[in-house]
Amino acid sequence: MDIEHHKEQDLPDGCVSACCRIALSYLEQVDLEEVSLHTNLATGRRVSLSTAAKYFGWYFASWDLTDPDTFAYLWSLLQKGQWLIVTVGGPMLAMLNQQENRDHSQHGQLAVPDNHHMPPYHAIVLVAVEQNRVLYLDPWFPKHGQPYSMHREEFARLASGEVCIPQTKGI
Amino acid sequence: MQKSYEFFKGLFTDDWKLYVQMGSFRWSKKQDEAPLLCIQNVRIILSFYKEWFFLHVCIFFHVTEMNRLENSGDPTVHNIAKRLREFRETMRLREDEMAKLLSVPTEELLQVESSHQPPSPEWIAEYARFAGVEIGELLTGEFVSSPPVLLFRLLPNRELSVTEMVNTGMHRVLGEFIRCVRRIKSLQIILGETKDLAWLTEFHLLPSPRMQPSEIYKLAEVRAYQFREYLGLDTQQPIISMKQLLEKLGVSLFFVSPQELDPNIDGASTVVPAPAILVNLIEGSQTWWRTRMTLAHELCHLLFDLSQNDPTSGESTPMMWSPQLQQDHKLPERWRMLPDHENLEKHANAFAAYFLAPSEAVRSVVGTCDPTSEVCIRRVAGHFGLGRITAVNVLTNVYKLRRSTRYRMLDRPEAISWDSSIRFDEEPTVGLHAGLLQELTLHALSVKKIDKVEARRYLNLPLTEALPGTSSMTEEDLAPLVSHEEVIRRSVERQVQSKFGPDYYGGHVEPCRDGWLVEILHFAQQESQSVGTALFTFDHNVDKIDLAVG
Repeated sequence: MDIEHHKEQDLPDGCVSACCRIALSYLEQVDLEEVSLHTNLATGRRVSLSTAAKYFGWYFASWDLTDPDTFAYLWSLLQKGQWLIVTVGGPMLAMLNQQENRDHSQHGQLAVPDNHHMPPYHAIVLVAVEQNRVLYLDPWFPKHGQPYSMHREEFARLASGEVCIPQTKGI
Repeated sequence: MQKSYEFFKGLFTDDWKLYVQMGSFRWSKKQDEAPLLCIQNVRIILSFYKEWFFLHVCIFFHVTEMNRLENSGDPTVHNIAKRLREFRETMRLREDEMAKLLSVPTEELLQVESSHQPPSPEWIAEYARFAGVEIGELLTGEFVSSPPVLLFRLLPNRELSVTEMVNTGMHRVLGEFIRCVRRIKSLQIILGETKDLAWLTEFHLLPSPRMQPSEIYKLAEVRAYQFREYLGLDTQQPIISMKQLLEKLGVSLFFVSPQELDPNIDGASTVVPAPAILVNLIEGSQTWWRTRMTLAHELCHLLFDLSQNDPTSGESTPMMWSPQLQQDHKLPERWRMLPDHENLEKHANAFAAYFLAPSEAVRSVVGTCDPTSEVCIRRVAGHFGLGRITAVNVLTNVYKLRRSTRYRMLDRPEAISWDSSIRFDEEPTVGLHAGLLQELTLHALSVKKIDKVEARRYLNLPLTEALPGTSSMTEEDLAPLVSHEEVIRRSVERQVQSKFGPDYYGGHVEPCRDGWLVEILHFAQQESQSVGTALFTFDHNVDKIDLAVG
């Protein structure tokens, strides 16, 4: 797995911008500055995945991933080599802190249950599947030990349903 | 000139080549339309050999399809559009026909097929269901030999059949039936429980050329007798359970209600990806004698009419549906799927009757009784587990009774109060995702061969639903993966974010009289604050958003 495209987010709220940078690096071998990207795209404090997708001309939709066919479609896209940017959240997000092989993030813990000081959703880039695990690049953490992986069941619990399909079209 | 040439040549060794590569060239009819021709590269090669130099011009070009993929960005997404068009073309369907079958506007279908609009997951699911394949198989083009696809190619009166399917939604049920057969097969492989299907190849006779109407009944009787003999069944004894007999043979059985499948269709069967039978419980599961007949009828199709071979070379098919014959024993034109379909249905009906009640055995059961009497009809029906009409038909055939006698037997007042006190086949489990599929799925989950997400895919259950319980599994194993509250919170959140921006989130969810009340949080200044509520109705709509800010 080529993780050279991984970018660590500079801003604590910069996960979407950092994921876009990862996708752009993978698709177009270009590197944009996260801060300027964030400034261009942010509405309020955060950059929404939908805004970023619109900006780059990428497909974005909210999928009902509790539907077994929709989940199977997402899985099939990954099996075919399509990279996807998704947001994950919910009470289990803190679980991502505890996985092995990960360095400490400069931004601290990714999420702590019932902590209202952290944004409740986090963007990651899904890059492949291996049996029943999904491999992903997480901009919150440094490059070392990436791509991380999580079990299909964990991902099903964490996925918000927001899906962006980065493509070269529109760049 | 000669000097210049020598100098120029001196720059290269004999096998030197000079490449000049030029950019791409595209030609399309209109602007913004996919190019019809694309020259990807023009390569001019100048090569030298001794006193000669050669000029080669190589043009590498793609025709429309390749170019569209190359031109429009990531091939994965665009391959999907290509697959969907390929799927329609393989089935020999026009765009408008496909749009009707999928219940989508034709214009939208054209947009999707030409890569101008990405298909939604719901679209993809519809295509996969129709094709009788899993979504992954659809995306890799593995639908070409799927039975529903092959069946559509064979339809002699496609337009009429398409109209009928659009009206009844039959294609969806048949497609899902095939998907369930695939899932059973895949689970059996995962669990190492594959069935020995030697009987299918050993007994399988090549589909006979068109049967003469006069031969149908004789042929059916001989074949029914032969197959009983092959199975080692005593010709004098009744078959107590057709369901168990078929399950022993490794045939997967599915039972649906007429609310799911058109009541004009009695059943369907397939040999690809594995032998399976679908029974439409038209008169409910309590009329088990009818179910037995349908099972025996479909067994005949499995044995003699279906083929695993490529159907494009002949008239055989891997899958068939069995429509009810009309009063005049004719097959309605709209349900005809093979030129000889009517005779195949008559043959299967006769096979079923002879298989369940062989002539010799009928004679010994009847003994000296008047074969036209009601006592005799009941005796035959009761002994062999037949319905009244089938018992009358069997007696008519065995004793060569006249048509008028048959009508007289059928029209007796006793026919109205017909009921059998002895039950032969046990009650079937209704539903495509029930029965064997459910059993295997839960078994595979309990031995950790599949995970909870896969289990729900096999059973077509949302992740918010609990799995159907079995004693061998814990409550935790069966519990929903995602709570209903979480789904409600996310639905509300999406709507609120689209209206007010990405810094708004769903919070606590509480049931109320009109649905669920969802707290709305605003994330600002490193802090989340409760700023209002939204009502999520029982119709799954966000009705009232009441925010203090925004």
